[in-house]
Amino acid sequence: MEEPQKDSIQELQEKCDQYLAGWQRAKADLINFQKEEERRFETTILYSSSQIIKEFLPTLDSLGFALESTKENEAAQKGIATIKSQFVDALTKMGVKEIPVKKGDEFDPTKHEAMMQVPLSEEEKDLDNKVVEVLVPGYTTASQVLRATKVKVGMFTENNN
Amino acid sequence: MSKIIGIDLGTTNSAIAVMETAGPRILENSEGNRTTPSMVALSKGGEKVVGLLAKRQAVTNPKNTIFSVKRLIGRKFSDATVQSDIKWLPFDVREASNGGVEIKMGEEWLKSEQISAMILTKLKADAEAKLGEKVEEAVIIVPAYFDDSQRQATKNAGEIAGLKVRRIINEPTAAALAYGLNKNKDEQIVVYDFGGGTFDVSVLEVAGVEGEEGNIESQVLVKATGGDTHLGGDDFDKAIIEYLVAEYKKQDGIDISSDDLALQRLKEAAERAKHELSTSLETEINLPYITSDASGPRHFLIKMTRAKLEELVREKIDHSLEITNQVIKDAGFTVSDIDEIILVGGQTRMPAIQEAIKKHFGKEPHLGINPDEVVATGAAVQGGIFQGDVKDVLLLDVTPLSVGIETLGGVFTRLIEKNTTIPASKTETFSTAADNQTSVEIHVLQGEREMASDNKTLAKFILDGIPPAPRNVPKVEVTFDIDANGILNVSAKDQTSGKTQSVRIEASTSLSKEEIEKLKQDAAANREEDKKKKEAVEVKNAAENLIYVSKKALADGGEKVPEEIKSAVTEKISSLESAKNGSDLEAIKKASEELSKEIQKIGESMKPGDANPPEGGAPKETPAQSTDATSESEEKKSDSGSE
Repeated sequence: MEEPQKDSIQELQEKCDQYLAGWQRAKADLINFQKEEERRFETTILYSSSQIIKEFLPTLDSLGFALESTKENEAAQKGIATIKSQFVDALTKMGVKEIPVKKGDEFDPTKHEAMMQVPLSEEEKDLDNKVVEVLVPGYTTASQVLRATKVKVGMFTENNN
Repeated sequence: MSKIIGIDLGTTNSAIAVMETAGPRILENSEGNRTTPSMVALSKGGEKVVGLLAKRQAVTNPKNTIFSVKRLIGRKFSDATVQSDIKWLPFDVREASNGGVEIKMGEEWLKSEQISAMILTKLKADAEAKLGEKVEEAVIIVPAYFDDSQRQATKNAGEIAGLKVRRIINEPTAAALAYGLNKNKDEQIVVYDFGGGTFDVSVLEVAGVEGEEGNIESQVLVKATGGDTHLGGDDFDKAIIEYLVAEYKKQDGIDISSDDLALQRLKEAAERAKHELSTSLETEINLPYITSDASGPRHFLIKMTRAKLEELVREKIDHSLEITNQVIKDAGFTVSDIDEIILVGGQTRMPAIQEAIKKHFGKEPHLGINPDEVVATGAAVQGGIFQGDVKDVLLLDVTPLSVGIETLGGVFTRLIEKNTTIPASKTETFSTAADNQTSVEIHVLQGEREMASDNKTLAKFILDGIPPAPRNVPKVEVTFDIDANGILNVSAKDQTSGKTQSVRIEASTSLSKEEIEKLKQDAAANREEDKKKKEAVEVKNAAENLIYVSKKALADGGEKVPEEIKSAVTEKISSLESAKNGSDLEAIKKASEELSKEIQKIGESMKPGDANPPEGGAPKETPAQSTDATSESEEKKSDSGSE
């Protein structure tokens, strides 16, 4: 039998090394991909449920507007408040919380979205860069802000007066 | 080597993507969004905020919220565009000592590169958090019309952000890369980019140029660009809002255009309606308690059709096509010279735009990739090329067509689907279709049609020696294994006896391109009809199984089953049997349902604690095809085998 030449052995060795490296890389890639895929799956679930919840928020807003608009009618108020409460209960079970915010709170872009500025008089100047009115409530889940609270922010300048 | 990220540094929004084993992937930012507003601000508390947070506080802080910096980067202050833009930009801009542009943020005057660097720093940090590793290199995308100075400034911004910028590439080129259109030589490509605020159109040519080693390489050349810096999807939203305000005034006689909250709700509803009308023909705008007057609260409910939306924005679409024609002319081509059209930008989701393009060019535009992400995806592809991910030495093939076996009723059951990367292996368990069946025939097929007889036979073999047992009890494990060379090994093993048979098929992937194409076309042409045939078989199989289970339940129950139930079940069995012999599927389904209900009564009639409840008294859900699957021929064989 003919002896294999040195060159061809070296060539084969190189090829072998290259294949092994490729194989190891592919295997590592696969394992990493699987791990990443698991994480991505979890994120996707979270993202999908957030998307579904977001779709329902305008209905919750409308119930809020309805409450505001029926202050004169006690019976209607009670009915709407009950429905809203059912809705909020269901959202709470899904881990959704309303962002607590009231007039005078410092404006915080991590939770609030400024829709407009309100010029302040000298007496109100303490409300500068603070929330002066909540337009639409915001909501969070454990991991993210679903929707920032839409607010009016106070602005005091000497020229306001 | 760390990953090279691709960055689409947009005028309004930015995106990041990276090349992975499975292909390019968009990376979400720390807020969980796939795009990041290209905004930077110095908040009133003196904190630098970037992206969504900067956007949320923009109204309260217009002087220190910097956006659209892409309109200024790398330009001279004296530039006409800069002079025109600074008229409407709310922050202060001045001439730098080198004639460039400086922007005031807080007390500091910053170069436009520094502002862009802040956005890039956030994108880099978000990418690192998502990838769990350090990111040091990037490919950044710029508009094709950017000159050297604008490109250099963008590169500098990257370097300030701590990124080694491997290459600055053009937006349309990135779009072509995303679709892999950079390889087809001598092609002319139009990239139609209709974003939120700007419209850009480019004509590209893929030409063969001499590479470093003297070989001919493909290169994407930008032949001409054009657009309108103030035409975009925002104009569409505006048109919808104006229409809704007018409609509401007509409906209720109230002008809500000065009611800030109502207008804000209307704006959101308009955006939602626009998105919905991309997929449906009609949508409802429903805004209860939008306002109130002396008579009490007022509501706004209106239906809007896709046709109405198209009527509102028709002029704008036509205008974009006029610009497109001009750019094609500037490139020295005519519309008929264009081989490919790529749609970029969220607004191109609108069916009217897609239709207009199709009609204008007489061909289908490329649509597969999310139009908001095409450019970042292309940047990731370029990053992957640098990284070597795309030029993998280990080339893996895919199965061109599905392979599987024939199962009960002549149905083709796929084990390995088409386009599966090989080597690949798949095992499924099947069973017998008749009582005491001692052999099964494994009919190996290839193709995309639903019925076995319409596909190509690759091999047939028989596994015998299965110990006699009721149907569905034996477990036959069928394994398909395709190696890297496309050689298919099929084996069948009876789990009880351990008996195995196998076959090796050399040419499972060696069909010619034409043959594969023809088979795929056949499948597409017959899809509906095949689906119906398959459904018919499945309904009949389920009915047959239900009859079997019902008869067995009656037999097992024996005397314990009350006479009236027994006769009712028997009657329903014969109704189903006669329905099954006909071809009216609805009748079979109805008879199955009736028998199903009736047979439940057997279980209910047995007293609790009965020592011997009839086996299978309640019908099980029809087993999936792959668990009870056996072909008709197998059934026949078993009949003869058991005689």
